[in-house]
Amino acid sequence: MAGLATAFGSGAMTNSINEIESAACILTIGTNTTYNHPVIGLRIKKAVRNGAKLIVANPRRIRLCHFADLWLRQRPGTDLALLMGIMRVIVDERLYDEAFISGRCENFDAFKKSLADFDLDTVEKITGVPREQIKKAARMYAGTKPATLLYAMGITQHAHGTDNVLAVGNLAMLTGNIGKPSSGVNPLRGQNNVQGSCDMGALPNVLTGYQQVADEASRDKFEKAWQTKLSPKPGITLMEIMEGAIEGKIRAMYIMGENPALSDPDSNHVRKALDSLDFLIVQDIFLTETAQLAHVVLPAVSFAEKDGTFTNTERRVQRVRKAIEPIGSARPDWQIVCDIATRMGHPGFSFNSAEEVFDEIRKLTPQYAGITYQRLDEAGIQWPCPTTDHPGTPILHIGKFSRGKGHFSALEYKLSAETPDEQYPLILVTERARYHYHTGTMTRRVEGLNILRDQELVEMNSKDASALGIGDGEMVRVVSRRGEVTARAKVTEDSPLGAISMTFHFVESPTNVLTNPALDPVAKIPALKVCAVRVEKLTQTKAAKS
Amino acid sequence: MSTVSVEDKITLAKITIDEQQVLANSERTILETCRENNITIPTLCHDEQLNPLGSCQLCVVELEGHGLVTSCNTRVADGMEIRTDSAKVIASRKKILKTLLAEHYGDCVAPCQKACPAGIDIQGYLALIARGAFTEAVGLIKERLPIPATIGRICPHPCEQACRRNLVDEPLSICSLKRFAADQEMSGVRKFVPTLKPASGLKVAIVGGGPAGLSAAYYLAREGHAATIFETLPKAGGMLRYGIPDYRLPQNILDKEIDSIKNMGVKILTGKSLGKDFTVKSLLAEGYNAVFLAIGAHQSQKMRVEGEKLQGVLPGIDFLRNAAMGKETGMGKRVAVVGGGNTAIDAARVSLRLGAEEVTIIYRRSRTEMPATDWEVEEAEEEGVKLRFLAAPEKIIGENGKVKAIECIKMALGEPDASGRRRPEPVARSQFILNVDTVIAAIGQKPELSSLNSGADVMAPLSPVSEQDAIAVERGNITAHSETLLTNMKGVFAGGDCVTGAATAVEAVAAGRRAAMAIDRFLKGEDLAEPEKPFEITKGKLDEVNETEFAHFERKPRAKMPKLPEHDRLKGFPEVELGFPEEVARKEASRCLECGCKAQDDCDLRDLATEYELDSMTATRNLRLFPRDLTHPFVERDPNKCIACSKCVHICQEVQGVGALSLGYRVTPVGTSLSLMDTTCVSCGQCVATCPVGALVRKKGLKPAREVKTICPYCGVGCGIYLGVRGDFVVDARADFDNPVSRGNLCVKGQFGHEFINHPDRLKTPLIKKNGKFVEASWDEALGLIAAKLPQYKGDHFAALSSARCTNEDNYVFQKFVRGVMGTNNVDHCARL
Repeated sequence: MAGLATAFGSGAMTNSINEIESAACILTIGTNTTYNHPVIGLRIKKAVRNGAKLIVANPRRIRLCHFADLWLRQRPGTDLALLMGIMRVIVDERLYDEAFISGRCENFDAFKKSLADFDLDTVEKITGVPREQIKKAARMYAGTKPATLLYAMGITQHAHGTDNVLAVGNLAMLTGNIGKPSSGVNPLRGQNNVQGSCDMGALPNVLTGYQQVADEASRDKFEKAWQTKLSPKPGITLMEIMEGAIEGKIRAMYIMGENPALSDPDSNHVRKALDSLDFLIVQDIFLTETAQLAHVVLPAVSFAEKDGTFTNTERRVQRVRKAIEPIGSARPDWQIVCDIATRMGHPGFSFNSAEEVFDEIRKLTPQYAGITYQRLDEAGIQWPCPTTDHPGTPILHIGKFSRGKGHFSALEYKLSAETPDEQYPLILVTERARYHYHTGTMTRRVEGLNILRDQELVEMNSKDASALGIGDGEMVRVVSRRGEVTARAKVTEDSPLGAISMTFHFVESPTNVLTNPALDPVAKIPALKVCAVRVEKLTQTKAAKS
Repeated sequence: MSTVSVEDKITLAKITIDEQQVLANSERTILETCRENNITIPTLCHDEQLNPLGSCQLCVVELEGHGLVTSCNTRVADGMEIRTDSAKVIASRKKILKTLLAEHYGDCVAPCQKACPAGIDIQGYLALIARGAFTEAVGLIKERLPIPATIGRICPHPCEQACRRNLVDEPLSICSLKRFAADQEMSGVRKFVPTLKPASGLKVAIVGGGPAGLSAAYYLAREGHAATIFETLPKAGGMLRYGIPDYRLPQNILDKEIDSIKNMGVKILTGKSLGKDFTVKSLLAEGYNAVFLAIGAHQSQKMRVEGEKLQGVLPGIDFLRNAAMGKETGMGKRVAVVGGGNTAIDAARVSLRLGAEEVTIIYRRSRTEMPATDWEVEEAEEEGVKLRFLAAPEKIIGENGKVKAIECIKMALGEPDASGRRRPEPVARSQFILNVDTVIAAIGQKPELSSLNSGADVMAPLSPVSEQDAIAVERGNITAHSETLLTNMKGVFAGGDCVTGAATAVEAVAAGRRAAMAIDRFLKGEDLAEPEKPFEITKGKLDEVNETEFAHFERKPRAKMPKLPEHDRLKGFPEVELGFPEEVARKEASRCLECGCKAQDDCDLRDLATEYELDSMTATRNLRLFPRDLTHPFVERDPNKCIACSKCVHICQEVQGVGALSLGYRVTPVGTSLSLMDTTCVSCGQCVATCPVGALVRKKGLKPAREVKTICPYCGVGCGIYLGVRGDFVVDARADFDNPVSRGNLCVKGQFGHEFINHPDRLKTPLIKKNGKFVEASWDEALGLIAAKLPQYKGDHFAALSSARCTNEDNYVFQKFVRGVMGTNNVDHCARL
């Protein structure tokens, strides 16, 4: 998000989901779309049926590869080199959109200079992608318009995730694929309301609508509205919060609807952090692994028991409607928070309905100002929507970038925070399965989904497996510098040589005890996509299987 | 017509459809053009996501000069003259429908539901019980039967005889499961409260507070009418209270169910007798807009033998009523009960409980012909009642005006009579004598109609009224129309035993509901006749169904009803059947084979068969049957219902890009295709959504009572869904085709991943950790603790994690709290990850 905000002035998806099917070219990188965003996967397939060119860049052979004109199998963690290689070809062959660059962008020359390090020899060596394929991809993407770019956590969850995003932004600007239908740069959000949580200021540096806490005018506006004093100092991010807890700086924590004990990297460390708190409140619908560590657990309602709004990945605000009465004495999250604030003697938390909360959001958030529950009754509205007669904005940056000029970034390739060595010779890539969601709090409680997928699988290439004497379906132990887990091996050519993959849905095999908490310096995203591990065959395999 | 410019390159065709001039875009098909002009064309194979398949041919229209053409794949052309509803078109569509139905094998409606006089959605409530949704099960039952705790104890349950599970092992314990759900609801916290329509201001008088009257009152109240029951006895309930002993139906159960009807606003006036306190005419004169006669059949039939007037000869119904009211019954110590029905069994068992030393039932046929239910007979025997079969009383011998003995004659069974049972014939010179002091006659009941047409004026002495003012009676029963239950008098309806003669309570309840619905139509001035029943296909009766079809089902024995030990039963009137424990009930409910088609309300073939007025039918015998594929956890595939439209195959291949489906069973000689679990199926459920019939259905989906439009809670796409709700349970989900993002598409999680909502693991109350263990706490306690603790951490010692799964409103309030109350910006959410 930080990357796109730097380049364009807004971190959100530039275009809309339904435009994908009309694209002439689609480049996907770091997204297993048919698994994680299946309905967007359908749009990609439809585009392909309509004759679009599809380029898939992914170390793993994902389902989309079967529909692709070109599959680039870069090594895990080398996305930036691949993207720079592609851009090098575009620049060298003068396939770029000169008018767009000169008219609407800045800093092109510095960027161009940074391409010098990415001759195709070097790129081929780093990424493992043959130079001919890189050239083909460059010509295809630059020469088939409109072209849209889709990415997800496959490129952001790295210690250099922001650079990857900046590279993607560069590529779109280079070819003029911004501010037009079926083009753009489109980050696919993993969870239902990632976009909304960010929009609502559930981030340490910004209030709602990305208004900086450090900015006095913004603060002033909120202080007046909330009738309270606000700290001008940006807060710390999630991984820093965990570190702070261990160091004793953070002594109390309130966690709403999240399960960091399973979802966050180096989860043994996270547990230690939560354990060291004086006071931990967890509010959730189930007694999650995180809730078990709490001092007080508050029962919240599920999406089916409350009114409200979610904002989807294309910035569309949609109505969530209460279908049933709360289970037991559970209550909507916002009501619980309001009650605590009121008990602590603070005014401004006496909302009678979700709609009243939304009306306050509208007043303080320019992007949401024109959206009302009444309007949402019909269909969702895409922000920015400044006035109640504004139809919403399906495409950002038309004619002008949000920040004014599109900013090219000069980039350099950095090695992953952790690379394979003798002791830990394999790369672990974390991913998600089609049948489960996040830490499985919800999907593991759906019987049928557990029939379709009941356990963690360590997916590995047959050559890696046979070198270790591991057969398909055998139990293995995966070990990293931070911990170890056991799970069943699945031998598959979908996995590239030298890299294994696991999900993090199964508490029985908590993959995140293995992962690396190294952070991207800007976005503070941890490097969940790459860490070094070794795999050992479990000796009692036979006993376990029988 | 919207403006069409030359630049749009649209050429227009002038055509006529059903003699109407239409300007059509010549790029369009006839089907599309008709739809644009609001002309309905039936089709079973059309899906807007696909190119026309033309496989069902139902969309034929008549094209002048060409005859019949399929409209889905014929483009319009200038000058076309199209008929969409000519006799030829209709005949062709009917023929196609009949052809499809000739190879369609299934039960639209479950056989148990068809066998139930009240037509309860049994399959539906069993599924709810299996899921633990007991209150919701009661809600579903009460759509057809308002007194489930009562009927669930006493019904002879013809549903169980029809249960297809008989072909596997034993039938479901349907009746006792109904009782289970009702008992749970009655004793639990979550009550089912019926939704009442706004008051109509109209009044209905119901004469008789038995099962028919109570049922009518329930449904009239639900429709918003003010119902008043006039009951002659001290309490409402009729035969349920005064004919059925407490050990089968405790009166407090009946009381509670009557109370729940009273809670809907129904008035019950007791001690009010027809002909004495009021008449039909007087009710109408008082301003009741309609009258429902439900006076039952409370008069015992005479045995017509010598000595019937002796002291000690008791009419069965009077005996049971007196016993129920705690009155003196006149019974001695040695009792003979004459008859073979449930009243006879009840009388015998009550006699034992009232202190009789020896009780003998005398029945003229053999055990197999007994109309009493098997288990009642068994229980009577367990308690010590003697059964004397093939014997009939010839005379009752008296002494000093009191019964001393009964003389019987042995019988033998001859040819079957009109009822199908073998006619008993006396065996010459086989008389025998039983020494008894009491004879209870339980050979049948009939309505007491002496006061039906008397008393034109309440204040005047009872006097017969003129013929045209009288309610017609035939063979001792009130005459009423079989469907509308209207008598010969306007606004006066009748139902239950007083129309049919003594029958089961469930039939009376059904009659009460039917009457209420007819009265509702009458009060609204609508046509009295019931709405047309939709088309139905059935596999046939139990003995018509091929047993091999059920061979592969695992044998699971029927749950045994726990009963009071015999030695405890005779001390008073404690209930004998104790009811299932929860675990047993849920397991028993899950034995259901789910025979009724899950697409029964959403089947295009059935709808068209109804629309084209095809007769309901039994499926073709001896069809080549294919195994159903039940391996997938969410999708059930029944090739025997497939009409080979091939939409599923194309959606799976072309839209989903998966290619998991084939119609292999249609074309290969072995008649098999892969089980879904062995294919590349991604479980998106789009095949289910497109299937026009019940060949592909959701396995766990239950019929919702209402639907709520919302957004899927999983990934960031934000697909539109409808949650199907029944009571407090989310029982189903489906795609929202109007959502602009997903346009009717969903993935496996959005389609099927909502079971977690009602999962028993859900947190239901705050928890506070004390000494390392969680203890349940009140909100007040938990919030009080938090509000006391948090002030000491204000500032940067505090941090908070918000959620990408919660709503915008939740997130907004949360960060406002962290910043505004806790005074720190240390707020983040895990989705940065």
